[in-house]
Amino acid sequence: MSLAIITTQPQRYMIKLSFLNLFRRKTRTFLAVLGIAIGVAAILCLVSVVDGVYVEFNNVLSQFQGIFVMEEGAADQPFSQIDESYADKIRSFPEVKSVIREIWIIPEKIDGESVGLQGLSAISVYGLDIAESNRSGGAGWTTELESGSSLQSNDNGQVLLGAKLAEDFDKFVGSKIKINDKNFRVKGIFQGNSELIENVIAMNLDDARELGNIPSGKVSSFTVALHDPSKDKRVKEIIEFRFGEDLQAFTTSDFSEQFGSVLGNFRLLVFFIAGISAIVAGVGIANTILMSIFERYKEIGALKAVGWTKGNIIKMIMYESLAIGVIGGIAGLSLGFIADIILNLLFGLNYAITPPLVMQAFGFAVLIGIIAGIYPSWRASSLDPVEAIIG
Amino acid sequence: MVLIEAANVVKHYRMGEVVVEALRGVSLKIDQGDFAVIVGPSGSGKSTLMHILGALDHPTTGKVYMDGIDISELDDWHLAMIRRNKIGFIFQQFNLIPTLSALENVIIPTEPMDIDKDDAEHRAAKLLADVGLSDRIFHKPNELSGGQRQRVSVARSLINNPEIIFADEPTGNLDSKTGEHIITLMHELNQKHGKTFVIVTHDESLLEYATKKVFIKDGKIVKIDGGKSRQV
Repeated sequence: MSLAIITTQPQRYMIKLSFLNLFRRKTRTFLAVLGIAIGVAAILCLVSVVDGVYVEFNNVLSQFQGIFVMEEGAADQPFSQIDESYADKIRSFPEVKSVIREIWIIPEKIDGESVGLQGLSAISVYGLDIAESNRSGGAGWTTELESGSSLQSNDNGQVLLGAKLAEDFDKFVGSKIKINDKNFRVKGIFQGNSELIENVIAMNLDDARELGNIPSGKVSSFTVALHDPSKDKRVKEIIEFRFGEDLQAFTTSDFSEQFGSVLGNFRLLVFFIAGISAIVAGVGIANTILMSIFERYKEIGALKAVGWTKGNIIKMIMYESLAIGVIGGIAGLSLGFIADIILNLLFGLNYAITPPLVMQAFGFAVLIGIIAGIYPSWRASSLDPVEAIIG
Repeated sequence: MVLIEAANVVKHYRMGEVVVEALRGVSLKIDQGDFAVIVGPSGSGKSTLMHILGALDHPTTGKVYMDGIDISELDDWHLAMIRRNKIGFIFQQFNLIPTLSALENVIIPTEPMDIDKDDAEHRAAKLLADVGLSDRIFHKPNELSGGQRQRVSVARSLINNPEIIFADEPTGNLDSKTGEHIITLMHELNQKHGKTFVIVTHDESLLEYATKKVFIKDGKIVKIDGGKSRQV
């Protein structure tokens, strides 16, 4: 008696049967598919918006070229004070093209109105060594002049305003602006691609020193421009090796990595919150399949009677559950994409749909489909054919 | 040649608090080529006997031998393999799959088997032609009459070329004329092709086709007539 029969042929009727079973109760199957689709759409839409923020941040960073140097241990530029003399030392490195001295101040009052730390979009005064900046051909933060003209090294008492700040304080080229208790004239207005940049008041280094009472010989930070920007990590290491007791240096990729790691955790959180809705949808799939098994009690019993094993039944039911996951996944990706477009149109939210995200969201749907099928398929497979046929 | 032998088979069911003694020591032999009809009133244990002989259920005590091998204590997987390779079933309620065509319903038992699917399809089409349904092979069960559905299930029971076919009240859901067609069809398969049949029914009119008549009552065989071997 030969009992061992191993299946190697494709099971075309089993797959067809599984697929047809889904169409017996179209509404019920539709609802199960909709559930998983909403979950996948939530994952795709929310995570792509988070990824969009990351892309935007990198866009901002890409406007900054070079290495950024400030006081060792300082949290931010306005709290940093370093010796100007380091500028010449760093400039002597063969890789370095220029070192721009900078002073960053948080103004207390503008036009008599109190301003201060207002979260991310705080107004800051940025004084820079304009002659050196011009020599280096625009190192540091690159912006685009919207109106007026750019600052020259002898333009004392004149400022450039970020577009947002200009709008908030109703300033135009030629307007007067009082920062703390000193008066300046607006020479130009510039645009950047983030609020952070558009809230900056740029001025001559000496004006900023006077405004912020910064002792002579001290500045907040340097922007170091390189002949070959790809050597930034190496130059950063040299600066920290030589002057590490007083200075810390950052490259663009340092910022990107720091922000990326914070955002990466946030992304994971969003993924799991959205994932919960997909898991709930998985419960819906399990319920749908379970109901359909109870309705097909006799059929499944008959299949067992004619020689289908537990494994064959499990396979058939798993195909059904998997099919819901796959269809729901595809529908969810489409829904999520549409939701992204709508969010973008309504709120201007940027999104970044990357192949890995699409794979993750779709993979999640498939995984939910498989997990949701485990219990129902086990139930169906352990059905007693005798009871099923009689009952 | 003895195909199946039941030796002092006892089957108890528990229904809530009550233990039902469905079979109380049944011994029976089914020979190659038999057209055995087991008759008895409802509740006599005839269906239970069929389930045990057909490797669908285990006896509580006693032995069942198929081709001389004891199958009474085999696990579910081995019983499924026996049903797949050696047994065909015809049910009172047909138990066809409503979403599949007649042809696919006939093929479906072979689905897990490692056989050529095109061969299976040809064989299924031929079996449907044999039972007189060559023009209905792509019809769904709900597009077929009761008699046609039972013909499909007869064809299905033959797809694995079984040694023995069990039929549980095969005419029970059919009008008498259609029922007669079905039983004649099964009888022809027995006479012309030597297929062994075990038919369980309460309809004593089916006895006229039987080569072996088994009367069962209250879980015991009361009489066996004919057949190629006598009860031990």
